Amino acid sequence: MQHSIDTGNGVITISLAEKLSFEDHDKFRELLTAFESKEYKNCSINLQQLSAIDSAGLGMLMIAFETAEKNGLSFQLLKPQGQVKRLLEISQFDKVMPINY
Amino acid sequence: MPHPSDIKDGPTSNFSARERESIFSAKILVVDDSALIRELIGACLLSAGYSNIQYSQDGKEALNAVKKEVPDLIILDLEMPVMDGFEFCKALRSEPETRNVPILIQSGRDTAADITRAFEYGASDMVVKPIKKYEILARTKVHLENKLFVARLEAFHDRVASELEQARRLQLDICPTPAELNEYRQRLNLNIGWHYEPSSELGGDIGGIFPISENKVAFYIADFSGHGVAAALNTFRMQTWLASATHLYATPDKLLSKLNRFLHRNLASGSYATMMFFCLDLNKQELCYSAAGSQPPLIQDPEKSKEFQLASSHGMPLGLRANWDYTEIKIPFRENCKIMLYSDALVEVKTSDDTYLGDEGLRDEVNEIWTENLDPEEILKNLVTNFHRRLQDEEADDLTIIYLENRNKNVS
Repeated sequence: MQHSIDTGNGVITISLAEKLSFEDHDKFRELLTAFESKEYKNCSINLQQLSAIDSAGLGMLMIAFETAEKNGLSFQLLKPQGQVKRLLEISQFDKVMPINY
Repeated sequence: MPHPSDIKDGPTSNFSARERESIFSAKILVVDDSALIRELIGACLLSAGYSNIQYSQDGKEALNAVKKEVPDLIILDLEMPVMDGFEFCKALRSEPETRNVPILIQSGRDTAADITRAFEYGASDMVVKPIKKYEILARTKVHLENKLFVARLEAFHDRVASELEQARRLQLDICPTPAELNEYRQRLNLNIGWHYEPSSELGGDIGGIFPISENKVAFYIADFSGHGVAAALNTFRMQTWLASATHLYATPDKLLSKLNRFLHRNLASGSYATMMFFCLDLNKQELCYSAAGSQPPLIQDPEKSKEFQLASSHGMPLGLRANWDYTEIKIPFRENCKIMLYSDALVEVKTSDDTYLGDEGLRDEVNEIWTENLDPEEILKNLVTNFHRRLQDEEADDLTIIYLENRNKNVS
């Protein structure tokens, strides 16, 4: 997993690239600590450059959503592609969190 | 005489008394054509507490000694008559039993070319003459301790490997047995194919089939997120829960809702299981099911088409949300209707054009190899063979394929 973070105007966007998998668990949880900051009201995870996700990765996106919810931030997933998009659809994540295609 | 552990040049790391004993009783073979050097090295080792020292005066004699009993360390001279140290190293390294025995060279030959050659021939380490007691003892200690560390790691590895193998067998035990499947085939007039192979590292696949009555049968496929032992343990958790939920087998949506609550309470945050649970009613010739984000099943209804089609498996995976209502889907499942369930491993393999097979790829492959006169077991075998061919050297994930066909005549 590669990532970059953009912040400004109370918005934090984490952009993920390559693959989100089991091995990224600790690194991803570390990224989510940013949601605890009082500076942000909205958070997004941009998936445009993410080419693949495994079962553990899907679980991490749910954890991201729950972390945002707990900290009172609005949350959305942006531009999932290919296999990532298919897995989100099969798992009906759109019924829990906004997904902006 | 001091106890070996009191000697400062002896092994001092964190070893148990038994391990320390094994180091001091390790077999050390000293090979040198000079009796004086042999005695000198032997005296050094004895003074440090090593007790099992043997001597050879040339490479050939040493080879014979090694054949009788493989030593734990060889201290070797290079220049000797009959067979020199280089040839001895080469001979030792060509045999599997002695490939890893540490060889400590002690020699007066200290040019770069000599040193390079000695290591090329398989020496582990080198000290240059004249013999310095503390140097010889320090190197001896390092090599014998290393040997013990490797032995510890090997013992640990072997124990874990054997426990994983036992766990794999336990996972195989919770699958329906061939005898059970045969009984269901005859009793319910179904054609059933079942393939399950747990990964060598264990995994989270589980599947099952339970007759509910003479005309109703439930079956399911599930896969826990993550890998390895944790995912495998969760399959047992699910099996236990399902064994106590027989009253829900005929209502897959209610079963998934309750199982979801159970798993949400018990799984670590972010962990989940995908699942499809089916109940086939042979009186109504109807398949009722509920899905929680599994792989889309392949279904063939010969009254509609000769081709297998992908059906929806959309649904929130179990354990992610505290309360979730699952939908019940009912489809006609008349005579000769077929369904194939599979775990993600089957489609997450690369095909010859370097793209993933995917659900559509699998559907096309099944339609291509499917013929009415081919036994379903044969078709499953073909799919499994293709799977292993595509995996090549990669470690296989758990693989489950379940096939079921209704052979019961439609009552008009």
